[in-house]
Amino acid sequence: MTADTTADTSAEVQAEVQAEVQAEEPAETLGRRLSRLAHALNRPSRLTLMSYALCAPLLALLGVCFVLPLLFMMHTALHNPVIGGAWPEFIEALREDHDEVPGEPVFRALVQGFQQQQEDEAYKLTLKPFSQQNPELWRLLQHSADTLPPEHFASAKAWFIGSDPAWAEADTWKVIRRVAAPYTTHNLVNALDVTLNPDGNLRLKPEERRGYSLVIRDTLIMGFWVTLFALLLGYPLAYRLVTMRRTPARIVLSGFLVLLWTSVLVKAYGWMAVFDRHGIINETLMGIGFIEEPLALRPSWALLIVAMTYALLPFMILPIYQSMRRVSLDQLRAAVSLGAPPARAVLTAYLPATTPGIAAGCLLVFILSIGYYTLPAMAAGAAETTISMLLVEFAITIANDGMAATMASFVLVIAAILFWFYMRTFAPIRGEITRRTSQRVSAR
Amino acid sequence: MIARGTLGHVRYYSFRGFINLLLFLLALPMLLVLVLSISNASGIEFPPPALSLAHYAQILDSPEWRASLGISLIVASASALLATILGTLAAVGLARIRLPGRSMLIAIVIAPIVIPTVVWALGMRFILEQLGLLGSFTGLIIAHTVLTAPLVFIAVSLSLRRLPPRLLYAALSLGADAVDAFRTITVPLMMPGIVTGVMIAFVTSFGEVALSFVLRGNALKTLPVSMFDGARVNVDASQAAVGSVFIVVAILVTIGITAVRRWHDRLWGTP
Repeated sequence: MTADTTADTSAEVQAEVQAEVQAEEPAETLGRRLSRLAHALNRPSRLTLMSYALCAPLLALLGVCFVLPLLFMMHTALHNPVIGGAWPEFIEALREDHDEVPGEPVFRALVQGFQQQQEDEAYKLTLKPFSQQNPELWRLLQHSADTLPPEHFASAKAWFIGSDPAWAEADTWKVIRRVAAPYTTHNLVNALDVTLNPDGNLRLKPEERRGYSLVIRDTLIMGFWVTLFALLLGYPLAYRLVTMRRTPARIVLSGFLVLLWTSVLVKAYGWMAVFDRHGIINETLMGIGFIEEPLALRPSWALLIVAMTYALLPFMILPIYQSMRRVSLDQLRAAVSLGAPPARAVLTAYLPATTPGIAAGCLLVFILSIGYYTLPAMAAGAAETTISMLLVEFAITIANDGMAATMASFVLVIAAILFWFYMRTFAPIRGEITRRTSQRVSAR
Repeated sequence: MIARGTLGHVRYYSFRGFINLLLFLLALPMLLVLVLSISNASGIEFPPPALSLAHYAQILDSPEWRASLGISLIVASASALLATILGTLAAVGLARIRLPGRSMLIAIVIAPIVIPTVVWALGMRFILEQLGLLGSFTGLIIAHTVLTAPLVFIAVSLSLRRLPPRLLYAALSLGADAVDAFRTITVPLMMPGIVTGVMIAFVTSFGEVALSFVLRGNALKTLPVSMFDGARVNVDASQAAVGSVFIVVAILVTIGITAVRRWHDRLWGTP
């Protein structure tokens, strides 16, 4: 790749030089020529601008249909929709007032809100976020709303504090401000199964009331196992593929491609047929008289992990295969001929050279496994819920966009961090590996 | 291959046996789907009582399955076409190695295939909902294009990397201008990459479930979504017939890509 890049630039320089030479009068001094050349090299060349122009359509599409949806989703996760939209005057007044216990205008706006609420039943629902966050505050609001006198009065603040001294406490307003903020960590806190005290401290929910955090934990554990199994199976397979003769290797490789491009539905379905009550495992075991009754093998974590490993195996094999092809088997032969036992030869002479492929494969498989939706949704039961199943459930069945977006943001953040590592370790298109290796070699 | 004694032989052959077993296990689920699709049992049953093509006939007769197949074909073709145009242009643009910000741009371009589909599908759902495009062909085709354009980009980029730069320099030194050199050298040499890209884009879109499921709205069920809906309620053998359609398409694509590469290598020589 080094040769490529230098050739690339040197060709450009040559072209520039030639253009300059042709344009120049013979009498021009060397100094002027050099300065003009330097100027020509500094400005972005036409080729560079054209390259950007060629990428522009795809980048525009990705900007609007990929980056924007992701940003919007994260916004939805933190957005506090209900109260902000329903009590505009109150929210505005509260935002302008920075005192611990706000002044008259805020209380007046609250009276307005309550009066509207008395007229319109649907308006009552807008107080729901308060009930979720803080039941006592909700009761306070309800009580004040119910006892509100219909006539106008001189000072709203005085009436509120007179009806309940809690209105004069700074803590009450702290909570109100938090609930009424345009952004809230409510979904985030809920998804992690922690509760927020009025003083702002986080506390883990009691064991029996945790749910979502267990799903997140289970998904990550499953991703770990899938990655491990895919590596343990994929590495020997890739190795065998490199050492095979040309024709069988091509056939097996084509097989992997078929596997890669077959819809994940089919893979899930196939493994369900293996693990089914009347599936091939049960029939075989009953056929040889090992069991009398068919075992209930589905749904289970085992099925999920097996099917997922199977579906993601090509993503492990292909990068490892790519990196193995760059390593000469002579290294291995040399190690063995110098007396290393085979296992040690592989560990010391071969494995380190193929780590970029391993890293890329593992990262890719882990990212994809924690975000896979179709396969778990088909193969798993209620006990094997993954994050992606939960988020689709929230989005489509329950229509709780905030929670769905929060769950999705979790996966996104993990995936984005690992993707960053992925781009650093292995980028076949950038050709970075060869460049780094060659640099390392020349440094020696 | 590597010097070995008797123990080495045992090790070597047990390794090969392990690999062959693994390859068999990799083929097994696909084979089961194919077998189930031509069995005459309505549920999962091994070994099949008798062979029949009833499941295929049932699918071809049912208007819902036919409609789903039609939707899938339209979405996959349209998005593959769009993805090929956009992906190829971007691949040519990003082929310049000394482009400022190149690795950043590449990261953005290939992100849609690494970031889990269901995550951005959800974001896409929010956006399409705002635009009133949820459950429309336009929305679905655009979303599938986002998913498949990076695949085309990678396929074309790889074929551009195989392209020896000396050919371009030869053309330039023989007096061709940049446009001529691009037209006569680069385009024919990246043709197999483009054809590969089209086919990968098509097959990926054709089999995509999570994206179509999240974005489907009320109507617009693609073939995979129909199969998915059915299999979640009850696993039966008619879904195996649909499943084997996906397998056959994947096999055809693999054969197609291999054929294109062979033909191209014969025409231009292996670089």
